[in-house]
Amino acid sequence: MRTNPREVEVLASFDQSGNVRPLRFRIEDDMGEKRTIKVDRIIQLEVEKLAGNIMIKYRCQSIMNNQERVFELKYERDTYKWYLFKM
Amino acid sequence: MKKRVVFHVDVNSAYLSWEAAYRLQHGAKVDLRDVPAIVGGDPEKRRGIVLAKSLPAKRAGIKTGEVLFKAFQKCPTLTAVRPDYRLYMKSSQALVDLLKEYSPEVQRFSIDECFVEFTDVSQLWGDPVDVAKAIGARIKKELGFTVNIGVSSNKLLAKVASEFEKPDKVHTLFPEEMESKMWPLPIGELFGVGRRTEPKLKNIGIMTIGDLAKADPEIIRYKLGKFGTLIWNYANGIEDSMISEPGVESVKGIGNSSTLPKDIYTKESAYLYLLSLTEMVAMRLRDTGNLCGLVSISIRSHELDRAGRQRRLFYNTDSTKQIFEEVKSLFDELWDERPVRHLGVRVSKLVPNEYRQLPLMEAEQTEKQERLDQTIDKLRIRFGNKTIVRGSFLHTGVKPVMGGVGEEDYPMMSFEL
Repeated sequence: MRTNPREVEVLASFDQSGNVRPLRFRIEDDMGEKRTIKVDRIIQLEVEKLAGNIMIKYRCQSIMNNQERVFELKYERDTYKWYLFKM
Repeated sequence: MKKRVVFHVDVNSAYLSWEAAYRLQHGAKVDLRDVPAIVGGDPEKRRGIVLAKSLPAKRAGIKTGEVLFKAFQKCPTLTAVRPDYRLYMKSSQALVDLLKEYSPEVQRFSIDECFVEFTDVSQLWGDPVDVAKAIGARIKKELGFTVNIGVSSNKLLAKVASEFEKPDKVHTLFPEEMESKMWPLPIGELFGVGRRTEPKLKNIGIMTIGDLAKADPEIIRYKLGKFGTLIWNYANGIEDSMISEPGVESVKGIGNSSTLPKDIYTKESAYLYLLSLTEMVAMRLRDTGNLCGLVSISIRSHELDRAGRQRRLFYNTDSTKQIFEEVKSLFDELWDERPVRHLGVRVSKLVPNEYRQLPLMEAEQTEKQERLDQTIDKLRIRFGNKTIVRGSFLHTGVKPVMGGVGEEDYPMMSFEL
């Protein structure tokens, strides 16, 4: 169980209303191997404005190693970066 | 007539709180507010001064404005953070945006202070103190930092009220409370009374705000002139200015200065540092959406005496190149060939960049320059200041963009509310 947030590569969709939805993300496992994980479900979406810095927080669910896992992806609006939390 | 109600919202240890909230958002385990921490200067080189401190740092005896080196001596385990001007502007803007949900009249008095006119909207929201508490709680929850809110019938008293016990508090200071809450305070606490005025008042036996309030206004006027009348009025809670135009217009000028790593002796190296300072000033100027009509520079020699010179321009500009041309010629006029220790560049007489008179002959050149500046700004904002630098800085060891925190952009100590 990792708790440190890290920047991740994300494949996302953008609709006409400007909604952003993460579809897949890629992480490097402990062996240094890259794995792509599909975001199965977005449970909750929240806009964070801490210190005026806008981040969209997605609580997501995916199957990893045949196990259902809940984690957080955050999209930082001003830098266009994705962060993976609680994984 | 309806009773006037004004809020003064003051962010508790602003830079430090904003930095702390930002770090928590990015997964930091430690809240900077809970450990001895400061914002300011260059933590690696331990240069520069303390701009903001946490409460534990305050308990260790660290003072705002003191040099980093001394702060580390007082507390070796201190966490020091380099100021991030862009983040603070964002945080400040988020605060203003939130306050505007309550009242259309919000005045940003400095980067971490706002006045809110509550008179006309009080019927909408209800009891001012309850609303102030609700606003404070919302800021804490949504923006992740705490504020003090002063509630009163004018801007001056509201500001004094927000200075009472901190952090995360709402205080009132209505005229009927002046005698008990404001008059016992030492005279130095009064808005407008600074290092220069305080000893003058103490010399004539005025030790508290109450002493000044009860003094004969004629004597104060005789001693201190028109300014004396102003602070006598302040001591009596008399102040009736309105909430002025919101937003960046309150920025009177933008400045940037730096003590040089070593004394310099030649015009060429002075130019390099001046260019580096100008880069940041011009970038910040463009960021505020203004043009400047006045450029000034300051030089401090190795003997630490200070000289300055300014020029009113015949045009308005936000171009790095044009500002730098003025800076260079001011430097040529001012410099007496003695070693230079400290340099500063400042622009003021700001006007919104919506209306610009292009110099006829250079119109095309100017537009090209403008696009270039904008592109460079965008690159630097997105990828950092080192992304794109001028060739003249190569192999010189001079930082291509020198930046202060931007605190000097706001009137920190202006005597008019």
